[in-house]
Amino acid sequence: MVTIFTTPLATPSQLSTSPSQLVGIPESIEQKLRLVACRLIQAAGILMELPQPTISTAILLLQRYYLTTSLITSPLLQTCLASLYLSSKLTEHPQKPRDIINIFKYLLSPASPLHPPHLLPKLPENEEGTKKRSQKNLYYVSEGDYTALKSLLLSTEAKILRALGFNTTVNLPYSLAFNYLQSLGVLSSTSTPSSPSPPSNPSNPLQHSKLISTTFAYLTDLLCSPSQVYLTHHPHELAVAGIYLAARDHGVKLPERWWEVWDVERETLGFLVVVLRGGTYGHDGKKVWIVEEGDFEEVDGGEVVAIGAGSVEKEVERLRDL
Amino acid sequence: MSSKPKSRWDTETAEDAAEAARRKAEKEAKKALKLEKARKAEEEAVAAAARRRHEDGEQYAQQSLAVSDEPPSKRRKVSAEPGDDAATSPRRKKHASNTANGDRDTGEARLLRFPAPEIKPCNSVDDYEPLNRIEEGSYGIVSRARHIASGEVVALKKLKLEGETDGFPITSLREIQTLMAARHANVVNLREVVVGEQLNQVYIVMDFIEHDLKTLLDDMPEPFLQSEVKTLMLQLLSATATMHTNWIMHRDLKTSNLLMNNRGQIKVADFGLARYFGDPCLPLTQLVVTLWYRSPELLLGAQKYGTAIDIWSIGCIFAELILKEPLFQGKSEIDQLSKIFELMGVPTDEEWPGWRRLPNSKSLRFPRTKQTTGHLLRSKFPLLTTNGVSLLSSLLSLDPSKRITAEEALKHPYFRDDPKPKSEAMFPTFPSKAGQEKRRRLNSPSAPMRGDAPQLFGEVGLAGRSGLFAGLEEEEVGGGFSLKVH
Repeated sequence: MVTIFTTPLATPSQLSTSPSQLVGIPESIEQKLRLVACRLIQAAGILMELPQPTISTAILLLQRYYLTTSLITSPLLQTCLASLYLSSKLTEHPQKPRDIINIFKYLLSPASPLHPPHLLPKLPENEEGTKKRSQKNLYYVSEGDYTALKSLLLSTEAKILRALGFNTTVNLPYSLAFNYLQSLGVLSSTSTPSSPSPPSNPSNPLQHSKLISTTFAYLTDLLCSPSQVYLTHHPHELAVAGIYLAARDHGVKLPERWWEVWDVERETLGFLVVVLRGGTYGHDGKKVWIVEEGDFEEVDGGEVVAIGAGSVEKEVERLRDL
Repeated sequence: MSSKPKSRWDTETAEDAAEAARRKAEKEAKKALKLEKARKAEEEAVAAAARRRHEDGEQYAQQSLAVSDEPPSKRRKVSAEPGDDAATSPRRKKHASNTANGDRDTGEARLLRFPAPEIKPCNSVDDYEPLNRIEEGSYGIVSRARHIASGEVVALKKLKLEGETDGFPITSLREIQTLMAARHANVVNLREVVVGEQLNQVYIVMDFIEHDLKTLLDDMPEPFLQSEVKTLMLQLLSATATMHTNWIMHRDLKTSNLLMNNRGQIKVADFGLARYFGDPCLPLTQLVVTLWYRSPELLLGAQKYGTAIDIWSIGCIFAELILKEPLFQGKSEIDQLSKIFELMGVPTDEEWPGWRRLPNSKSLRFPRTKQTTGHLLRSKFPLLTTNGVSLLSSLLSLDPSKRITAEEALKHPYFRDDPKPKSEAMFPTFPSKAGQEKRRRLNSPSAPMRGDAPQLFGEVGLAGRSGLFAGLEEEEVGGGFSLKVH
């Protein structure tokens, strides 16, 4: 039963030279686009009320896919659509291509909270009714757009499967983390028949649910981390790192060298903790705005990332000229 | 095949000869390759040993590459991490000094390392050379092929994706996922998935297995011996136990999905209906399992079901191994139910509490007298030992919650009785039909297709139960041709 502990991992050479960098996309842009993809998928998943494992699976499929394919051959939007579609099937929460396309179109429209405020189209100053209607028009998907996007979605899905060798195993750390917390005896006194919970533990039920949600929050944050640790570490290692930080945040004391019980090396744990505390991309409090076509630009309080294939190429050109 | 019916065995021998010649050539090529490899390996070993002396950490680096990939400055930062447990700080210092040489495990607990599968694209189907077609079904085409580089003969299953409008079908995703997860000596080995030029050309590559149990049973002059049945059952049960502990339901166990090689091993195949299940179970489709192997709760329309449906199928397979023909050969859902109740008895409320609440049982009328309850396995299987009948009746328990699990069945006293299970090596071998020629169309209903589950109406006739000589005409199987057993 090694299966739930192992997940396909990237090789060092895959990580050091990504196909996108080989075709001339600078690492900074690749990182930005990857972050934006995570944001979009996460937001779409929340709007569609999908469970987090489905969303996480989609993000990981996308990250794995870009280990073997460049952002030029497979532009970001269609890959986001396809990986969410595929993961919804893999995790038995199938969604319609129509819904996924509508949601992403909304997220990229000026009506979305992800849209940069300074680029909002000037609305005619009319009464509320027309304003609402024109808001809706902002993310209306025409039949032609839909058909084109759907065929892109389906072909990209097939490409993702091929690029991954049809190995779609994604083992996530959430359930392992929950099991580990249970067996550490920090969740509640009844959940651990074998080991009595250490007396130092404040057994306050509120804290228990907080401990779990903080652990899960760390694990979800880690998905969008620039170091892509989900591609380099097995789920048990990630689970232990999440628990470590969550337990420290809540002042829960754990037994000495508890991580060794789950075969995690101190070094690995330490590395993951650094990654976790490093946070996600937007560490300096900058907001990231997303548009489909447009310019990459820095505005006060944030930066704009354009995900359209044309915009990416333009930005690459611009950086090359600098 | 129908175009050249009389030259069946002739072509086979011709193909055989060609095959033998090719094999010989291959063997020689392999030998040469092996010698070359051995020489290279030796050179490499020397080089590797030298390298290892320089950096002990190499092994470690291979296994958890991320840590070693990071620049050392980052690692040191780890040990300077504030707020670490006070109790562990002395060891931390030791660690900090140790980081450079990678010899971290000395004097500490030995930790398990998990190998990681690589993320790599599919190979091309052009790596394989087609040999002959084995079988064609609704799910796709299975053919025999040879891996050109290694010369190994494999089975290629081409998925039918032409009519798909929703992208890659969820059933095929499940098939590949479950087959990858269910690694077991008695589950057919998935080698890889290869693709053709077009996006809808996807092939599953599996080990080639010579026979399927259905064809074998049809063609054997004598049924399997008791000792052989025990071995086969143990293999089937242990494969099923592994699947079930991995949260996989097969949902289409039947003799034609059990492959058998010439070394006395059976392999569970065709995961086309398999899927992951959870606990508590969710409503799942009722349209699973080929009719003859379908359990009563599915026939009665239960929407929530579990691994017990696989166990029922195993019970049917067990009986089929003994009888040499399927146990319940219903012509329709309702006929299937009546055949089941004929042999196993109409369930009483004590035997199966709550069965009357299942959707389809309300619209059915059952003749219920004293004679119609309780099973008649003893008289149907006069030569089976008491423990054998006990195992069969617990596999075919009408109430799914009382049905034995695969784990429990493995420990059943039947397998400890004499005759003992026969060793795999002692199994007879048979000429392979799949290996050289097209197989006969199987005379059994196929797995259910997608669609609405049928509603059952009408009366369940239990005619066969009353007559003393009923079913006599089915006892003797007609002559037909039979294969010579070596």
